[in-house]
Amino acid sequence: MILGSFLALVGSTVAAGGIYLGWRNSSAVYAWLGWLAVAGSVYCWHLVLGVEYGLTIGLCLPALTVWAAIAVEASPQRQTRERVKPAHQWRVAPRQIARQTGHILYVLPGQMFICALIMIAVVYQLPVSEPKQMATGVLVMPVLWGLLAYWYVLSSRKWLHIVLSLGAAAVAGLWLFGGAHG
Amino acid sequence: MAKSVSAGSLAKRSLQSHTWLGLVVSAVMFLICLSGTIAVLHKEFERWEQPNIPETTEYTVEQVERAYTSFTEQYSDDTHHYYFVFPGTGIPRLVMEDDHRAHFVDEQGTLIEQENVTWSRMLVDLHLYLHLPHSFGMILVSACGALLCALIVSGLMAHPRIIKDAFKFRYGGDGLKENIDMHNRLSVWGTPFHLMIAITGAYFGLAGVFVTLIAQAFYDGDTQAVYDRAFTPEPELVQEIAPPDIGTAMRDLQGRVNTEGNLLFFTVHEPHTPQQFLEFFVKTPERLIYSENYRYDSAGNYLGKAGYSDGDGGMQTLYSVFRIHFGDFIGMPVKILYIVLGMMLTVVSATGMNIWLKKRQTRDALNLLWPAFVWGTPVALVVSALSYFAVAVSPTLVFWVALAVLAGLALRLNDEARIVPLYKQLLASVIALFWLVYLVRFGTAAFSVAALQVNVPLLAVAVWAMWSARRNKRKMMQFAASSAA
Repeated sequence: MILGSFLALVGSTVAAGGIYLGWRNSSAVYAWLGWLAVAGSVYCWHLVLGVEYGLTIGLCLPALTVWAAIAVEASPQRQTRERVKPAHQWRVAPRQIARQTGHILYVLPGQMFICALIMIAVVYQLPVSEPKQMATGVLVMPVLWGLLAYWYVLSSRKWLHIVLSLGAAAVAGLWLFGGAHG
Repeated sequence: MAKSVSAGSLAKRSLQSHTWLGLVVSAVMFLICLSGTIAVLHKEFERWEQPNIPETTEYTVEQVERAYTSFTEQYSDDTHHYYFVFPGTGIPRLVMEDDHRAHFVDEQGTLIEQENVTWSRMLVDLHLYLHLPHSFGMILVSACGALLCALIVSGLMAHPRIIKDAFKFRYGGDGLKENIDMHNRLSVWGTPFHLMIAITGAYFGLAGVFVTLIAQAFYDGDTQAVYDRAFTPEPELVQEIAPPDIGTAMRDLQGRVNTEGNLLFFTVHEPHTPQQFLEFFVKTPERLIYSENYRYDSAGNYLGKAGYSDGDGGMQTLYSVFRIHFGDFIGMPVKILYIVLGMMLTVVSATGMNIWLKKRQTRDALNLLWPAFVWGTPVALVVSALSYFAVAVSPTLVFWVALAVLAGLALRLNDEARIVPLYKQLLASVIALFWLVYLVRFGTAAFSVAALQVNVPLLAVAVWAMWSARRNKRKMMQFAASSAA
């Protein structure tokens, strides 16, 4: 296992090198070969450690192996004096505080309940066993919540986001608690 | 997000969103990431807290039976469970416990010292609950997992030069470009790990919300019914009340599966009742499920296994979340990998706020408080351990008091350039002082494997902190000299 792990690690490093060469030479061929090598290294880890351990480690390793290439590309910047900045003028703006608090309350507890309702209603439609429905729901929910949070903060028409999200949550809630399900 | 995000490019608007989300969670995210990274070694810390306990990976069935009998004779207060913990958990010690206390067990099966892991518990509670009331704290921490997903998506969308800059790293200068490149390189390449941590981390708090809603919707509010659908329900038994026949159960188990190094612990559920049964938790090699569980009735007759290794895929998935999130598989190599990757995510949290502060056109107390918080947190953690081992003061209280004092000190210094090297020097100093306290407290046990495997890396951190502080100061002096010239 030690030798196999070492070889798989070498494979992961070579893969990172391939991607780097592709980037450095603006070569799509090298880049594609590098990414293919990443997939190959994940397969090697699977052979050494089994599919579950191998996939986990194989996907996480590029975060480390690329740093050799990043170190090669590191370039020093000339030391400059940091500009002396004026003192920040804090002012009490109750409307701004209320608005920002509202945004935070909506994104945190608000969207949590919206996402939970939508997610449960959706996964319970899936034609799979209940444990699979629950697992899908609870693991996809943070991604949905994250996407909704991003969309809300990004949007210049927040009212539309709120209306659509609350509408979807209301439909989900009606189905869950309104007796519509069997 | 002081004003509505204007219609600009998607990348620009994503950056504004990313900034707002990052500012909302910055301090909390940093604490969660740093404490989680350190808590990867929570088992090593538990051993380090009581280094004098004799360690072994060997045990006999008779030893276990004697320990169980002694414990149940000594403690007769109400408990819903008894547990016996084996070296398969990664701690080479034997522990007999109930819902209220835990005793180590020696090679004769005699109960010895009580388990006392107050500091390790403080560290884990910081990560799980931020030291808030548990129900609320865990949900807040899980919310940060969801917001980490939002940060990942918004960060990637805000990065139009993601391929062009894939290997770029500019260091030095006024620090702005260095922080930007560090933040971007670590976060982009670490995306698979960060997503995995965010999703699995969110699970622990969101599971409770899910269970409550599903129970209300489908099971008339019965949350146990929901748990029984997700995980294997307890067997329904009616038996004569008698002590459980642990020996018969263990010998049968050893005939069924390879327990060598894999037996984690067993639980006696509902002891002294007709529903009493034993459940043995056995690690499954090459699998991320926490364990496969083997159940026995009071007489030691095999009832069946829970089915986590070959049952419903959803159940297997849910039962695998713990090991994926905490890097609790394979052993030390994966722990080291998780520590490195965890520190990278911690640096992402810190550099994100650094970028915002450096880009601001004005300056205020935040410019002092943020570096004090980032570098003061490890100092506060060491001080909490120091005071706990020296005078048994609550490490939770000392941690927050120390952090507050360090924040106050930074405001008094009123010089951002001095804070980082000073706090690094402080870190080195408190670690050195901690070493002394630990030596005095534990004597020769301070040189056991249990102690050294934590204290030697801690010493390495102190050496690095001192070297780094001197480097910071040298750079400042060189720059001041060249500017004067």
